[in-house]
Amino acid sequence: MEQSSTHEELEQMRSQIEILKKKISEEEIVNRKVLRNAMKKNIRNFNNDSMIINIVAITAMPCSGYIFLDAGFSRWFSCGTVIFFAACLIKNLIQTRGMRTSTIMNDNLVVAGEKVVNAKERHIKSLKIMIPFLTLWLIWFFTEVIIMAKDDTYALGFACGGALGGIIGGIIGFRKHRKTICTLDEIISQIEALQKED
Amino acid sequence: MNRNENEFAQIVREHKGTIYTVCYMFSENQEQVNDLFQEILINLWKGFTAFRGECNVRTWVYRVSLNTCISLERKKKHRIETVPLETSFNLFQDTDEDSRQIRMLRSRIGKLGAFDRAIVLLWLENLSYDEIGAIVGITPKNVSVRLYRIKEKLKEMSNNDD
Repeated sequence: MEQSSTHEELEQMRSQIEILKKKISEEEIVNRKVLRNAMKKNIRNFNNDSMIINIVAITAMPCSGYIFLDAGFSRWFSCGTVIFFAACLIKNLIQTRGMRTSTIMNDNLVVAGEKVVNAKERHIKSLKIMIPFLTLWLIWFFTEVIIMAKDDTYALGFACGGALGGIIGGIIGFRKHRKTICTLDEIISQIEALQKED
Repeated sequence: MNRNENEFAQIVREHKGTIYTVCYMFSENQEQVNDLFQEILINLWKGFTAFRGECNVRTWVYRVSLNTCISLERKKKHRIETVPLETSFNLFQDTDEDSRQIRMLRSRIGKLGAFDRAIVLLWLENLSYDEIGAIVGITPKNVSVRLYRIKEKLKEMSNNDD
């Protein structure tokens, strides 16, 4: 009895998808403009976040060096900041290697899912190196500000701005990181469930 | 349009139903359907040159469509510069019996995880276990086991709803 109700339900689902297909077949859906719009966007990268990080790092390298020197920070600190941004850029380039949509989207769902998971895991691993570096940079930054603050009130603005930026950045980063972990776990468990039965 | 573009447009027109169905099953409103549909077209176009016919066109279209929907579901990001699609219906709002039936189907499938949703959708589209396996990346035997579990899950959900 129960089995026949499941069967009926599945048959109903099949008839429902037929209704959907019939409804769609009567529509034009794709016009020339939609197609043109898709074909002109052939250079978009898989990961827009990475692209933004790359642009920010490339722009920030010369700017930060100049700004910090001009604001009275030591030459060593300015150089250290430029190196820090360069490291971020290299890390990001390595991390997104082989992550182009044109190849990933053509893969089957499991392989594509695994590639995305691997990339995210590489990102999480890299954070374990980058966070201590960022902490060191922040300590260095505030040390320099404190030294400068002895004879310059302008440095107090730097300290407040730096602290506020650090807190906001930290909160956003932490929330994003937690979300990434949750979605990763979900994908991994789904892939594992699929492969377990093989 | 050059030869490549014409060929691409032809494929899209032939498989518009497949793409639209996948988008609808992974969306929560009409705007998301539009966004997803155009994201899929972009990914199909990007992958068009890399696609050398290792599998048939239908399999490829399903792979790209489902990968796009699953990856966008992960990111929950939406495109802002979407061109409206040429449709006279809104399957999320229309009140006719057909639209109600379609919504019922979407609601049932929507309760499943992304990969299971993909498998059941392919099965409903009458694809063979071999084809489903090739799209998802599992063996045909695994497809049958997985489908059995999905049916059980659907049954359980339906019992809970009653």
